[in-house]
Amino acid sequence: MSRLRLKKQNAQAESFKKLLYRTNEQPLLFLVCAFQIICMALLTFKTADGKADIFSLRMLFLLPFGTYAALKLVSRMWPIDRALFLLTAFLCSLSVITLRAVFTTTSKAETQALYLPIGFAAMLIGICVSRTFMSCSGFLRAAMLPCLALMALPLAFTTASAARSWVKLGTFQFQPSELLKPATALILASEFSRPAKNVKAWLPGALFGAALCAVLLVQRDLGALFLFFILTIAMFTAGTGHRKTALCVILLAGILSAVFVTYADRIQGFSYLSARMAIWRDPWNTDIESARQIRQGLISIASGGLFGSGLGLSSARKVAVVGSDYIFAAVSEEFGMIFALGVIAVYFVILLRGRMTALSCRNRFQALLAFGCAFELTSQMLLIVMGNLHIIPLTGVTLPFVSEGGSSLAGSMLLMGMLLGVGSINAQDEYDDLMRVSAGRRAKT
Amino acid sequence: MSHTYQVWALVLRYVLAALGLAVALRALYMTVRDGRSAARIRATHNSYGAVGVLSVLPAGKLGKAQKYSLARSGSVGGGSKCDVRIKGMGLKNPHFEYEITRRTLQITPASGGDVRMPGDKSARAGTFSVAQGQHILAGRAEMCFQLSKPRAAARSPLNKRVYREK
Amino acid sequence: MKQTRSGIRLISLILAFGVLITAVTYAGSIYVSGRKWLNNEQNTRISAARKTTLQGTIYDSAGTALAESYTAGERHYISDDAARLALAHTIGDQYGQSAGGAESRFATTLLGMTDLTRTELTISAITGSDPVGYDIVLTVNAELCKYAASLFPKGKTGALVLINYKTGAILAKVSLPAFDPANIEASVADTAYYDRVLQYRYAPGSTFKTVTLISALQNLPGVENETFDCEGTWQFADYTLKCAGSQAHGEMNLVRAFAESCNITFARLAYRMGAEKLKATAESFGFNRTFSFDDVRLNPSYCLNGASTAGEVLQAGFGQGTTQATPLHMAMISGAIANGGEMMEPKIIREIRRHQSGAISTMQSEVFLRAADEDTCLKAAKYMYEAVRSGTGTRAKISGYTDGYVCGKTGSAESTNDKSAETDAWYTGFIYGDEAHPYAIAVVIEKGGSGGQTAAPIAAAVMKKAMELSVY
Repeated sequence: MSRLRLKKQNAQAESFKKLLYRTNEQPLLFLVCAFQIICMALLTFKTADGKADIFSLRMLFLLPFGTYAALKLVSRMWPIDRALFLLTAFLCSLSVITLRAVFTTTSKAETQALYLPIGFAAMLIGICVSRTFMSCSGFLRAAMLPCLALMALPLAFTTASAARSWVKLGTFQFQPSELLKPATALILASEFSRPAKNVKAWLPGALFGAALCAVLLVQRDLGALFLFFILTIAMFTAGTGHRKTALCVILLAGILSAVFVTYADRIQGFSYLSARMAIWRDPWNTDIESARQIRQGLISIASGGLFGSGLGLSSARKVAVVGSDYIFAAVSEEFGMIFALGVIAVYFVILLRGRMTALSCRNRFQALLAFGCAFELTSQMLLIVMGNLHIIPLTGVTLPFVSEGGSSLAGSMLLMGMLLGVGSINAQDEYDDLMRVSAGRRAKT
Repeated sequence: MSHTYQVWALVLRYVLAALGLAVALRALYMTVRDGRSAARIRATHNSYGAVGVLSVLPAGKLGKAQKYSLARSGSVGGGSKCDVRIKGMGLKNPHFEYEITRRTLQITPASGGDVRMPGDKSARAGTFSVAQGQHILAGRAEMCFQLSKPRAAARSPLNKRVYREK
Repeated sequence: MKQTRSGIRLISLILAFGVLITAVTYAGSIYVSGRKWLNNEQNTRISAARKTTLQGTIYDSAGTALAESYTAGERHYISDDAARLALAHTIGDQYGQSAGGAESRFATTLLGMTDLTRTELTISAITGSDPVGYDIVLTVNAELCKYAASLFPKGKTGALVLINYKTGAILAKVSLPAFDPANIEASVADTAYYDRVLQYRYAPGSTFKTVTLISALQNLPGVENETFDCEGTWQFADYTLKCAGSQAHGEMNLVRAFAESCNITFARLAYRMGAEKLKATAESFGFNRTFSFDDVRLNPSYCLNGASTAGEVLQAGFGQGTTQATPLHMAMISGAIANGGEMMEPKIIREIRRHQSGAISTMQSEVFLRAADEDTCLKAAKYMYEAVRSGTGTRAKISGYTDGYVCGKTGSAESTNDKSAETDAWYTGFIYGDEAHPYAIAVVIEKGGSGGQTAAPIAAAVMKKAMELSVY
């Protein structure tokens, strides 16, 4: 009797596995750890005086161990999408490795390595947040005003320079727009997933998005402005389905921005726009000194060739702001075109998995939230890589996970955390449903 | 930077490029497979994601009601845009949106869709609640919903061995 | 829910498309523009690489080594002093003084940095030898350049360029004063580092009448049968125009006016056509545009660029006023006329080779633009033949040469408003009808006096020497 039951349970387990499996992530874990170990082992010897570099030696053990431990920890707590987690870990360690390889001193890499645990904490927070909010919530609606205030905070702090998007408190500084990306995704998901489809239902969300964009315009942060704008439009289209309205808004915005850019000289504070467009149109004209950055960036990308110049052998440090804005050019020069295409493919996989998660959601709110996060990460990547490649003018956004900077890492980790959280809810739902169905079957037999 | 370092760095270029490519390709492979299984689950979602059943009768008539699975939220109507598609009862596309919270059905009529409780003189507007077994009238149909039995298993165990393929 | 899902699918598709575009553009731009990007003078990696890489050799078309290295970090130039000076601007230098020379313009090729796979680097690191760059074979002929430089009148500066108008290859290129690539430290004349062939703009003077002629043939029907009267001077509003030496040419047809180089006739033609038409013809020959050739950086030439007064239009008719052209461009114009209206893109690299071994890539001739139609060009060629046969260019005849027709146009261009100063001596022309010697040439001797007296014989001698050396 017990052997029969055992057989039935095994058959049950088999059918569960067939329907509910996620492909084994062990090979991916192995590949990521191998990458980290090989890079850090090599970088240990990249010193001027011949002694082994302690930081790289520490990272040699901490990075793979940290990845493994974090993966085990998180997947014990919630049934998250492990592949996404591993890809995020890959990109984060790529950041530390690239920063170590490009610069002669280890300071930037050390700072970034210190930010990694903070980023992991942000990811945990993100998972908890998305597991708390199950549907449209009044709390989130009430959170709109504080978020707007937070976004406008730099205006109270800065003086007259062009960078008005930072808040400095003593030695600590952060960028509110980075932290507000996940908050905006959350709020907009809540607003645009309301069941009613009339104007009254989605207007608050749309106004919130518009207000954020207005604040960013005043702050002259055009890259973030563009990102928030397309995020609002995308979530609006997916949530309410009013495609024609969205298309009209996009066209209107396109016309307005074309007009704006043409007459940017006359508007106070935006005179640098026409200079930037001139740089973009003809960067090889050596008379334009400020185009030096894009010139050096393109030269750096071309110097990498197919396989790169060799870890630590590149001259990518000569490119201005290579840690955050031009990190893709640095990766391209250190590791080569093939590897850089692989990095782009990794972001593409993040998009695909985010889409998969969003489509499997049982709830419109969660679907929008997951989609919003995936959209935000991918569009940011597209913006910065196209800027590096000179397809579009450079906008000052960062490459998620790979660029240096605490705010950028925290914002991206929050987004990824929310995406993982929604995925974990999906997994639990599927498991529950399967249990229920099989219980029903068992009841029948 | 010593010469040995340079040699090692140059040689390892190929290894690192291969590793990067391998990571991307393995991730793509995993995603394609997982995507397929997710699509399969979604396709059979009618029975898997269902939390309840909607019984639909032509208004006023008696007899066997048509049953439709209900997910936690969605749209009901006669057209292809609707999650629950009820043909031939004069329903709009979509007719109303619903959401199952706790044990009640929250119904939000869409523009042009008239939903009333029996005994209403005019169509309802705005979101209103319907309990289990309560009938509502929409178009030419009369419908009521029933929640499925509560879950057989308790909360999912933390140990997720079932999720990984050996 | 279905709606949300379809919205998500749609937007994900758009994003995926964006990712695809990015990836394809990335790969494509490295292959297409990678070499150009690397060659930029601001590439800091070049000077670093020069210390550790064995740079490739620069050869002339006959196989003479113009610049070579035996070990990394040092460079030897051709030992013949006169040849070295004649080829100074073509060879260039390693210190960024002369930007157009092969040493800087093709630095990344000479250093092997254009190899996308950089396998050479890995192999040489393992074996411990220096990495090697690629060799470049130029289209110029060193002996021809040396001979051309020796023909310049003593103390005079100027430029000479001989091209193959069928392939676009630059066969000889001299710019004086020159510097010594082997001895950069030495002090040189102020303008020695400028490549006058590519960078200097001169007033072309009467050599521009070829363009005016073609414009007239295209825009004024029946102009070939007209009679023109020249009294030596012409008063038009506030402008007084004179022919050379105020010589009155009397009554003549268009052929004679061209052959005798009558300024007044061509000023009248320019006035009749108007600024728009003349400018249009000039622009179809490549004026007023930025050139972006792979092999050479050629500065633009200008004709009636911007608001033109009546006086400027008149002066443009005979190549003065605001008209400016580089010597290479004038040679390309002659070449276009000889080549049935097709102007070929100038090339200076004949071949890129693996160091002391086989070729990687060879010169591909490309048509740069179609300047005019075949019939008009043939007519213009006949006029230019008359100019050499019986006009101002008789000293351009090549003695003992009967295989083809020597066609050309002289010019004596005023370069300043000072009437007492000497004019620049210009000559531009080509050999027509000889398959083996499709040469087009442009010579300018600054303050050389009369084009027909000074520049034309130099051109004849250079072309004769080119034929002797069987340069193609």
